[in-house]
Amino acid sequence: MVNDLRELLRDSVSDAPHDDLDTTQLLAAGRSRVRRRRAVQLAAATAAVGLVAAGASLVGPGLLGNRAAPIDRPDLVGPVLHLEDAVEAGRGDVEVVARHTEENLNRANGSHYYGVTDDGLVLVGDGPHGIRNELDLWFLDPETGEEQPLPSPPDSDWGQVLELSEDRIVVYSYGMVTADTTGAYVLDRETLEWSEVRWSGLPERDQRGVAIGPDGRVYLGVAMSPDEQREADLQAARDAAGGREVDDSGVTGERYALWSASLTDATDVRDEDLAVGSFAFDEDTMAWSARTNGTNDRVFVKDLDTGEVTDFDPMSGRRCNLLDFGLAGEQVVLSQYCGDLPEKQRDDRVQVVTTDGEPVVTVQSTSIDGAAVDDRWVEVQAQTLGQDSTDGTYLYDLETDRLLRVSDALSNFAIGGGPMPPGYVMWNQPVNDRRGQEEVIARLP
Amino acid sequence: MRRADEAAFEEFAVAAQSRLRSTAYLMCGDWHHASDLVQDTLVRLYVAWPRLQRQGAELAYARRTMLNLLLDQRRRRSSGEVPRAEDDTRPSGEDVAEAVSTRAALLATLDRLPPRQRACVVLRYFDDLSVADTAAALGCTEGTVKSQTARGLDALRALVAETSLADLRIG
Repeated sequence: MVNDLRELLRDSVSDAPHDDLDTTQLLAAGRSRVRRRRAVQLAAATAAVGLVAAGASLVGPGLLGNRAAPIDRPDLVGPVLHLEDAVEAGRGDVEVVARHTEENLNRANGSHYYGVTDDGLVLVGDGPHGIRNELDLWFLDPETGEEQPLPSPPDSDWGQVLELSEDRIVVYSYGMVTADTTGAYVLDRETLEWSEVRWSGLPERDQRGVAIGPDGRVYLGVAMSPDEQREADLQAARDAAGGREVDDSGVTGERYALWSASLTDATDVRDEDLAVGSFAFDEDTMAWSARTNGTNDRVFVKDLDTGEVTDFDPMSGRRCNLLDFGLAGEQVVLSQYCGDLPEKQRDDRVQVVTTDGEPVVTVQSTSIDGAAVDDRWVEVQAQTLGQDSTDGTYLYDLETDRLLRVSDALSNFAIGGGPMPPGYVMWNQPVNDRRGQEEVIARLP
Repeated sequence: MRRADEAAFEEFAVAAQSRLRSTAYLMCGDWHHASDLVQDTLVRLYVAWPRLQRQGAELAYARRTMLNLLLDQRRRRSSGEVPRAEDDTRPSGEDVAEAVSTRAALLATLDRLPPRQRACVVLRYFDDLSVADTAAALGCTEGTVKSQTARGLDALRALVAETSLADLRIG
């Protein structure tokens, strides 16, 4: 008889039932999962050399060589681009799949695109209209033009669309927030019925940031007690302004407590015991900054498969306030306001770093912000309401290091928008003397 | 992934599958579930493969991913999710009581350990991992591994006293 634990453990698995590994199926599953992460491997490796070839400035610490560059900002690390370096998008760069114009949004609410489902349908909403203030919803198949009506959401105040999957639409409710509760609406795409969840147990404090994690839970940042250093920094900025507009760049950022909530059980609300600034998810990664809406010197990346957390200093500028934060594949996108330039223009930056902390590129200009589209593309929008000739929407291609300009103005309504599958991008532009807007959805290579 | 990398991944997957599946089986006591866990683990490994090849330690990453998946499933199940169906390939409690199979008795005994204690025992005594490697696999400190292993072994000693494994040498 086997009477040693070590031997008995081995003996217990010695006659395992036969199980041939189907490597074909395994590789197919792996390729499918990796599709969003593949391009950035190339992108990170080619970014530095590509920029030289493209004639853009290659900037190290303390050296800045572009015509529009501020000369007193030595704290830029890695390659730097400016919107003036962009080229007009040409035929074949983007493929427009849907566009829609509302001529006069001052006169009445119109219809807008609220994102694209994972299976390629555009979610369109019209309204709210009428005495009952209803929002009409439908799917538009951009390939055929066919429309599929959807039931109106329970709340015309609508909200932020968090998920457009093949199974469901999830909307974080603005109406519930107004009513001092927090919750979401879920449309089951099979039964075409809306359900709602109102979370009990979430602290009744300000929230910043909401996202769905790969586990299907909704994650929210909940305000923590005021930070003394931040309060002191803000007071110092106000004192220094002396009645002029306050330049609050360089103040200590805010921190939020991360909570999560179930979409199926209103009582399943959890304190994740994690202080975050901003946060974002990809399929198998969560990334967060230490602070937001102020300076931030740490980005954390958690491998959701292993639970392993790594962190790095993104080397953002000393006076850079982190305003927005995104993650796609192995790239982290940080939108920042870094104070005013001598000409009173804003110094705004969209900084892209890998999840290992390697600098990829920083786009620096006035009044810009950025978002990760997917592994390959970063969207940058510039909005000075016509005061600057660089207004519009730009796409930075991490694979070829090109900065493409796809529009030359942004609508001041900025209504619509929502989740998009990898490879899709949406922008808007003003029409009819800025009374209306055109929305465009395009597919990228 | 480049063709050569993919070939290396495939080679690794074939070589590691059996070992990972055995570890998973000792952790969950169900060969079908163990196979599913290994499949999930290898798919995740594929994504990280280029990075892992640069860093080495592919098996350690696979083991950590698999344990994380398994412990996460256990955690979710313990917080109210529906438990998995009974595995008809395993002996029932009555079989254990009758003590006809030392293997079944061992699995039934392991099943009564908390998941992390069970993981420590399996990794230390089946996979022959050092305390440091076990800590890395479980994402905890070496001190935690030592204490969890000691508690797991103590619990095993107490449990086997009531079974056909009463003569088992532990630790």
